[in-house]
Amino acid sequence: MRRSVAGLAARAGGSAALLALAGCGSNLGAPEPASEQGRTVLDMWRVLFWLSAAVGGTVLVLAAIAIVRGRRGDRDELPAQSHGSALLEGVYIAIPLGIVAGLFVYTLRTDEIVNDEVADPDVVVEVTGYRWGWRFEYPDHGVLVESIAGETPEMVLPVDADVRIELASSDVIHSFYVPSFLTKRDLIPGLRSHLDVRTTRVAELHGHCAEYCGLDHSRMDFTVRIVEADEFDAWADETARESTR
Amino acid sequence: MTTLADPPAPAPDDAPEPARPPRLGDGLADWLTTTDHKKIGLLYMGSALVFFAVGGLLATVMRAELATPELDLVSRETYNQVFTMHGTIMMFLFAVPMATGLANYLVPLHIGAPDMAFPRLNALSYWLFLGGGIVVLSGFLTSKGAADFGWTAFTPLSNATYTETIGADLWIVGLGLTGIASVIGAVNILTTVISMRAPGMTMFRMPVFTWSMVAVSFLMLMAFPVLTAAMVMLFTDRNLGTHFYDVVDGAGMPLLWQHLFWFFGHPEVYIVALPFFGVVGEIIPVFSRKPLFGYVAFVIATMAIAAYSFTTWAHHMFATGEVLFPFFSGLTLIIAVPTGVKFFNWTFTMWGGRLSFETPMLYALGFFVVFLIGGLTGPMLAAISFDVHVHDTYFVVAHMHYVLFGSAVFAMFGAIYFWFPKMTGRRLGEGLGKAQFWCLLLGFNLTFFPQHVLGLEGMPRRYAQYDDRYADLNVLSSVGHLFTLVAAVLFAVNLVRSWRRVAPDAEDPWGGHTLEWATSSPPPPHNFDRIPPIRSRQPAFHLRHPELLEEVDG
Repeated sequence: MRRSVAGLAARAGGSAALLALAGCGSNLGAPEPASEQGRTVLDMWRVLFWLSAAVGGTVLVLAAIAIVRGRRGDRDELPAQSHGSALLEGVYIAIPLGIVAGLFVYTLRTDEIVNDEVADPDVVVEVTGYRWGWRFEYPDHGVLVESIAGETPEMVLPVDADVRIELASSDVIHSFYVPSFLTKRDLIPGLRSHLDVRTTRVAELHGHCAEYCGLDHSRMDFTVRIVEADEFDAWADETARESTR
Repeated sequence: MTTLADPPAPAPDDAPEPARPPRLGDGLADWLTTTDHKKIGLLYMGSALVFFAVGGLLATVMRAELATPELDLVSRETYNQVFTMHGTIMMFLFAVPMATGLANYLVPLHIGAPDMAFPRLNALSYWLFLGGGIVVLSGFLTSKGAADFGWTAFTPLSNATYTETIGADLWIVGLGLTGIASVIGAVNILTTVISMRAPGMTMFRMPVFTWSMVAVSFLMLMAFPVLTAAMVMLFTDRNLGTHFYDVVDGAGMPLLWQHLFWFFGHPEVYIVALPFFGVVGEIIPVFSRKPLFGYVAFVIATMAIAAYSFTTWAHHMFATGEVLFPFFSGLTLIIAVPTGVKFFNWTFTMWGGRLSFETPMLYALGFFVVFLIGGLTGPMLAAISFDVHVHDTYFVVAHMHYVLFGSAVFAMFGAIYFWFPKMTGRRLGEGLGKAQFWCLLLGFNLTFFPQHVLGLEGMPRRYAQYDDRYADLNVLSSVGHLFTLVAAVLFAVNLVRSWRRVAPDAEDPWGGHTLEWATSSPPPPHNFDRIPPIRSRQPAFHLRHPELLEEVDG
């Protein structure tokens, strides 16, 4: 496929505007969460973004003032040769230390919320990653979904449900990543892990393999379709019948 | 781009008639057998620039492929080799040797020594590095191509089952050689600094660049042997049937590789960055006409960063869910404090100074802005829940380029423009240099800033093709790369043009502060005909301004 240079340039201009918009949008570039945990992570991103903007802005303003003021005056005349100031240095060590201490506490608390385990999940999906596809098994529903060449496998989940996604790999390391859940988890051969997600809205979501796994890594996509509970039951019944046939 | 290969060409060290331009054939044998730290430094830097050009062209292939969502320029096999070798070259064969080359050239001059402590070991280190680099690249000559498992070579993907190619073995062996070269170089630098300082050059009068190399040498001594050991185990897994990293019979453990690799890999980031923090710590004071603000704090911050860098490796592994989150998150966050100290050191050095904006200063300021952004996304990646969302996406690609391109490219160009007169007796053109700077600043930000958003949206890294919804920002990123290419060409032109004329004012064009500016440019083979009295941290400055010496302690 070819695009003209002008076309590329036009797209580039358009995407510059998009970039500005992404910065101003309420999600600051992150996807609209489809899980409760995702909302928490999005809140965290907002905090991190504005905190960093404040810190970076302060440093840049200080540097800009120094630069603008430093342009004045005769260059051949030496300025006062100051070597430091214990007070100022103490201040600029103490303030960042306070900020990162706060950030540390906030990080641990957020992690506790996001990784809080559900005692009794509503749906369990056993995910197996392999080069280069996915197998989604629903042990409680007798359902099996597997990648077919040329098609994107689909995981169907009920809305407003606690979902446990069990993860295993049968060859190399993969990573189960649904951007709208704002989290991911590696699938490591020889280890089992899981991810708990509480779905919050009906949606059709893209999923990727996020850990590089060789030749077709970039084609190891899947979709997650979140539907109403009764629709999920109907889908499970029908798919279970198909699987047993 | 092959013009970048030329810098190792002779610098007229002791040329009797400096007006005669050196010929390429001059003393080839001399360059092959030299143990002069200055020549070895130039060889290192010249080789690093050649590898930089190769790695940069591989980036061009990637940005061309990613200009459209479909696969339309190279095959997936080729793309995977290209990003693997781009990362490998830039980390191991460009950034580290470039800093090593600068250190080779500058450390003895900075401390008033006639050469490194072990000149022949120094030559061995360079030739091991060059040989290793060539072995790594030779993978491209094999029928199945170079290594294609990413520069991180995660197991089990990199074992013989999933990567059969001989290119992978060449990658392991070649990097093993460069690792040994780094260890030897580190021993040499530490010994030189400890035992060969001139009278009066106390440790706390050394330039901050040399201090940074002390810290980096400790990092190399501790990090590279771990990498070498990990590589040996990977090699035996692949070729001798051991099972360190695979799960056959529950024998091995894939995550072991990640622990070992990142135990090396995180200090590696600072092995790349710290020398250039030092470079900026040399440039900003000279162009502010003031000493570095808070020198002692700067040195302690350097040591603190080096020490903490060994306690943070598993923040690269949060998505595995298999590491102790609070420990690695907390210690990663702490590094922001000493790094922040440096930003304030630089800022308050400029504060109240008389600033001028020649090319080296522009690059130092470019570094300041670019690294600031990379430094701000760093603590974000220590915030576990957020990190797990953007881990392995373009957000991380953007972050690491802001950090590493900021230091190893912006600050490197600052170093080259700053010390080029010292090394060659010539000057790089200011006009071309400034044009190159603005081109690079624009191109770099256009290429990498959008990648933050791509990562937030969820685009994983190491994808040869991608969903249409990621297309617009990828186009922007590819367009940005074109400006970077223009900047590279401007630099090559500048290098070639500067070669033709010996600058009359190259002796000390900037009014340098540190000891290397107290000898001729280029320095004689033994460095100093006469070492000036060293009674402060700025001996060359106080040679010109003895009246200011009284005010200075230290």
